[in-house]
Amino acid sequence: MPDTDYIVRLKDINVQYGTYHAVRNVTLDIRKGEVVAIVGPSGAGKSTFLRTINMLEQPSSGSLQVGSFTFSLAQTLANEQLLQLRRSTGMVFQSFNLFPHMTVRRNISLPQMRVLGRSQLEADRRTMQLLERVHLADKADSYPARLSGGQQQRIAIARALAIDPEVMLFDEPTSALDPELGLEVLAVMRELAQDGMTMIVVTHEIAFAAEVADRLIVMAEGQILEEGVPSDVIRNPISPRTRKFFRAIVDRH
Amino acid sequence: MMDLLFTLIKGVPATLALTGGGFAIGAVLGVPLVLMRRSHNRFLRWAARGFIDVARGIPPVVWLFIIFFGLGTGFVRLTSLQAGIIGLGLVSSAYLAEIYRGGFMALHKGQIEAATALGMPATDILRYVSAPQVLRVSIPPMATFFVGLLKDSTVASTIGVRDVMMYTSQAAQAQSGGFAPFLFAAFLYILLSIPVALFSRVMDKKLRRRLS
Repeated sequence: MPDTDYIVRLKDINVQYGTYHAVRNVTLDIRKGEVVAIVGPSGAGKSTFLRTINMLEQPSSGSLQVGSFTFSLAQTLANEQLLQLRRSTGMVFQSFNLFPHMTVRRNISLPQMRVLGRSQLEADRRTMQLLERVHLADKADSYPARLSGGQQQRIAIARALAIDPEVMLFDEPTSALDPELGLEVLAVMRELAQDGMTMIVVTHEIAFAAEVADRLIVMAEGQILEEGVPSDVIRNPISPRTRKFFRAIVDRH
Repeated sequence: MMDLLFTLIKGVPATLALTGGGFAIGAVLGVPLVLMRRSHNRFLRWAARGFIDVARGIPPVVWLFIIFFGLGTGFVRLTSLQAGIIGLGLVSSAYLAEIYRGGFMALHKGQIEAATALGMPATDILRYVSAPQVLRVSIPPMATFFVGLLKDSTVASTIGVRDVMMYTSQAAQAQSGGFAPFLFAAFLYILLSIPVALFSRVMDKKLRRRLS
C-alpha cells in the first residue's frame, strides 16, 4: 500500500555511470504541499538525483513512489509506467527548453492535448488560466525567441503545470538568468508554494531557500549531508563540509 | 538560334521529372533511413549505415547502368526515365538521410528532455517536437542538394533519357562542333536552379527568425 502522508518517497537511490557513483543511497520522503530545497556544491549529484524522480536519469537501484504509483528501479520500467510517472511530475529546467517553433499558447496546450487528451478548446482555456497565473497572458501568441529569459522560464513553469502534476521539480531554474530576471521567476515560485504545490527545488539561491522552503537539504559527493528547517541548517551546520559551503556563500555577499 | 533553344527546351520535362522525382523519393526514403540510423537497435543502425555508404559510394552513372541494364531488363521492364528516377532517388535518400541526421544533431538535447518530462510518448515527440525543428534546419542544405541533383541528372542521358543534356549533345553532333548548344544548356540549367535558390533563401530567412 502506498503511504498517503507522503507524495514522493525515494528509498536507497543509487546512480552510477561506469565506476563513477553520482548518487549514493539517497533516501527522501516528501509530504504533500511541502517545499524542499536542495543545495550543495557543483558535482554534488543534486540535479542527477532530482532527475531520477521522473526517470530522466535511470537509477541503478532503489525504489520510488510518486503519488499512488510505486516503482522498483531494479528492473526497467514498462513504457506505460514511465509515461504515467512523468505525467504526475512537472519539471522546470535551467535552460527553459520551450519549443521554439510553437507559440507560447501552443507550447502549453499541445502537451495537454497529447498527454491528457484534452480538446483544443479545453486546453487553450487552461493555458490562458496558467498564463494569467504567471502574469504573461498578453504573450500567448508570441514565439519564445521574442521573450526574455525570465518570461521564458515563467512560461516553462506554466507548461509544466498544464498537465496537472502532483509534484513540481525545479532544476536550477534561475541559474541561467541575470539576478533581476531571476527574481520574477522566484516570485512565481513563491506564489506556487503559497498555493500549496509540492515542490522540490535544486538551487543556488540560499535566500530563496531560507524564505520559501520548509526543508533544506545539503548534498555533497552524491550524499545527503544534512537536512532540516532552513534557518537551523544555515545557522548551525553540523558537518564541516556544510559549514565550508555556507561560508563560501556568505563571503560572497 | 531560337530553333536551337526550342530544341533544348524539349528536354526540360524529363530533366524536371528526374530531379523532382529523384528528390521526392529521396526525401521520403531518407526519413526511415535516418530513423534507422539513429535507432537503439544495432541491426537497424548497421543496415542503414551500410545502405548509406553503398548508395553514396557508387557514382550515380554506375547506379543508373546497374538499374537500367541489370534490374530494368531482368526482373521488371523499366523505361530509361523510370530507371533514372529510381537511381537518383536511391542516391538522394542516402544524402538526404545524412542531412536529416545533421539536423537531429543540431537539435538541443533539452527539447527532447522537456517533451519527455511532460509525459509525451516517443512518437509524439518525434512528430511535434523533433521533426519540425529538424526539417527547418535541413531546408538550406536540402536546397543545395536539390541544385546539385539538377546538375547530376545529366547522367541520365547516358541511359537514353531525353533530357536537356540529351538534346544538347544531339544538337552539338548535328552541328558538328560549335559550342552554342552547350552555352544554351548552361543558360537553361541556371534558369532552372534560380527558383530553388530563391525559395531556399526566403524560407531560411523566415524560419531563422523563430529558431535561435
